Amino acid sequence: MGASVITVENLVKRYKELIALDHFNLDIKEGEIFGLLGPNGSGKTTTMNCILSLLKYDKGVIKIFGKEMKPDSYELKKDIGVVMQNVAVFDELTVYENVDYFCGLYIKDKATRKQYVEEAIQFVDLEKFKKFYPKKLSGGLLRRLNIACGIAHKPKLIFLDEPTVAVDPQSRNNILEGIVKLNKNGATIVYTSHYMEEVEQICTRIMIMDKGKNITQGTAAELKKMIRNTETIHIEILNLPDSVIEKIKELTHVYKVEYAENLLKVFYNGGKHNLIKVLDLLSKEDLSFGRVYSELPTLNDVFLEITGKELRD
Amino acid sequence: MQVFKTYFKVSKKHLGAFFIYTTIFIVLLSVFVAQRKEESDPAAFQSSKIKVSIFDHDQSDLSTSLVSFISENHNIVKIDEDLKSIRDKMYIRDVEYVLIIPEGFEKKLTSTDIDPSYGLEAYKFPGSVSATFIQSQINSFLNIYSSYTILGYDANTANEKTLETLSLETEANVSAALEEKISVPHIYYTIICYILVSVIVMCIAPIIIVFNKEELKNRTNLSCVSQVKRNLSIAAASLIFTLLIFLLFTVISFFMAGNEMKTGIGALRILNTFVNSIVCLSFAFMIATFVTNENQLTFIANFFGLASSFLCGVFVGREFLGKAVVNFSKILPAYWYMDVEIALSKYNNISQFTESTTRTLTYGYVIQILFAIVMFSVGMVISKSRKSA
Ligand SMILES: Nc1ncnc2c1ncn2[C@@H]1O[C@H](COP(=O)(O)OP(=O)(O)OP(=O)(O)O)[C@@H](O)[C@H]1O
Ligand SMILES: [Mg+2]
Repeated sequence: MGASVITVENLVKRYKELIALDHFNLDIKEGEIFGLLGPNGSGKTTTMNCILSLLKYDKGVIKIFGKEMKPDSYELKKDIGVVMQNVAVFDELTVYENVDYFCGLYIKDKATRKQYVEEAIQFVDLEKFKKFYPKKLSGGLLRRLNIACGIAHKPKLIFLDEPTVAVDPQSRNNILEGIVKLNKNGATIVYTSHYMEEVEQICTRIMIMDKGKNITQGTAAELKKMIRNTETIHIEILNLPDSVIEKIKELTHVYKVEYAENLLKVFYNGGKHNLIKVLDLLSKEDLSFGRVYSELPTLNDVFLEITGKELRD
Repeated sequence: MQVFKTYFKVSKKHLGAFFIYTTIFIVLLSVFVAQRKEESDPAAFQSSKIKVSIFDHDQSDLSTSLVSFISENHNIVKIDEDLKSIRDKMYIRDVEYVLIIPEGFEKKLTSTDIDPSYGLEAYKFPGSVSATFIQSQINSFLNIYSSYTILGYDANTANEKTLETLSLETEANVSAALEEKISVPHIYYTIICYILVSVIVMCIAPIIIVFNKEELKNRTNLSCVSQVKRNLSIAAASLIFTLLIFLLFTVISFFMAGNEMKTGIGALRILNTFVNSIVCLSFAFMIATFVTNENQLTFIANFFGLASSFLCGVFVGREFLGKAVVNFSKILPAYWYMDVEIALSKYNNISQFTESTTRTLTYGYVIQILFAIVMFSVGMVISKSRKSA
């Protein structure tokens, strides 16, 4: 692993009574796509804004590229790109002018800037919309413009705060691919989201947070290994007698069985060919069933098992 | 530089207000000028007498002579002496000029300490030619009368001699009054008080509001451009924009009244408008710190522009407004602008200024600058407190 790009130690942030970040620690290495995953209000944006010195915090030490980050650390800011959760563009400027404005906050040289702006617009695939005003762009295109504005100056460290909210699946995939590409080109990425699928898809390391605290971190595979669940089998079935449910519970590796609204859920920790075994039992009981499928554990299961609640609301 | 340049790019999208108010200005200006011209048609004017009401509280030899002098030349209309009926009658043009002669008037005139208005009070339409005409007659009467008393003539002889002298002068007086008093610069620089506040607030505040939007402000603060530099760029760009607007209206005034503008009085008018522009800029800055959308802004700009223009005597003369209103309007910067403009409108030449005129002008300029400083500071305090919240 590379050198530390961001280190956060014992960060405490209060909004009056509310403790938004509670002795929060973070260490992000060069070359990572680091995912901050947490439900709404868990403190992802607050973390980001504290790291960027946009917010004052009550306690803690924040370093970027080994140097302390302060509101006037302009040398550090040069190498940082930010895509904020709320789209920040001028309605009065065209797509091109917007990217040029934000790029120009970092890059003084005109020729370089022009090239960078063109590249950024190309990167988010907005060439056809250069002369458009933001009001005329769809939600997905607007998000892409927001990204172009954040990364045009070719920063080494990029923060993206839920860049895919309210974006259609097609655009979402484009955006995710783009982020991976930025990372391949050498940028370290901090990516916050409450969509576990996205985080799982692109992040090299994930931190799950809740109520301003780090719950756990690791690669997706590592996180999933932390929990008991290895597989959940779903079977649609009518009028399942209690006696059969009892029998299923006794199968090996089954640790929990739920039956509600004609859907049977069987939870496993370990074991092989679990699906065949449970279907075999059902046919022996002479029961017919509908749709059957098996699910591997998700980050939601990880979250559920640790906090006792769903990641998604 | 980036913020500065973008300011003007953004401003292009907010020029609508500029064109709207410039159009309103030109329309208002033509209406006002046309109205004065009509009133001042010399033929119609000389043959028709002015409808005057007089309240004589002095009942002295002098006041009686003055009243009889006026009644010989004009039609006297009897009305009640209270502000409401005076205003009503004047609005329907039953009366064009109301003169109030206070008690002790004669004593004051014949004493050594002469005040240029002789302590008389009058109600008239601002810029009305008939009123100016009758006022110049009254002033001539009193000037000549007091000269004769100073020479030692008794009241009766002074009166006779004055009437004699005046009959010679009247002819000349009429045409002089007419020529002078369709003063385009005065009308121009009165209406501009309303227009400037609207144009500057509606052009500048929306741009500042855009830059102050939470997301854009934060996003800019995350870059290499410091907050101080960003604020200075916005301030400098706003100032330049304001100066451009000011210059434009100044240039137009030269087109409309070239020669009259190329005088000391013209220069003082321009200075007054310059100071007023800075006040409007401060005001725009102040409201941009708490207004968040264009509708609120339009409402505040229109309300403030119209209300302060009415209260401070831009659309109707102050003599219609009642003491309380006039006193109240002193808390508005437009009052002090109009104070200067009214003072300037009485002269053709700087050399005629009395000490009290100079004082009025100085107060007017200085107080406007104080208003600008106060509003700017209030804006700073509001934006600071927003930031820490
Ligand atoms: N300016 C503020 N004043 C007071 N409380 C705030 C403020 N900003 C955020 N909070 C609170 O702090 C907590 C963390 O908010 P934050 O925006 O960091 O969450 P988040 O993880 O980014 O959520 P989301 O997924 O909705 O973006 C929330 O409970 C939120 O209500
Ligand atoms: Mg957030």
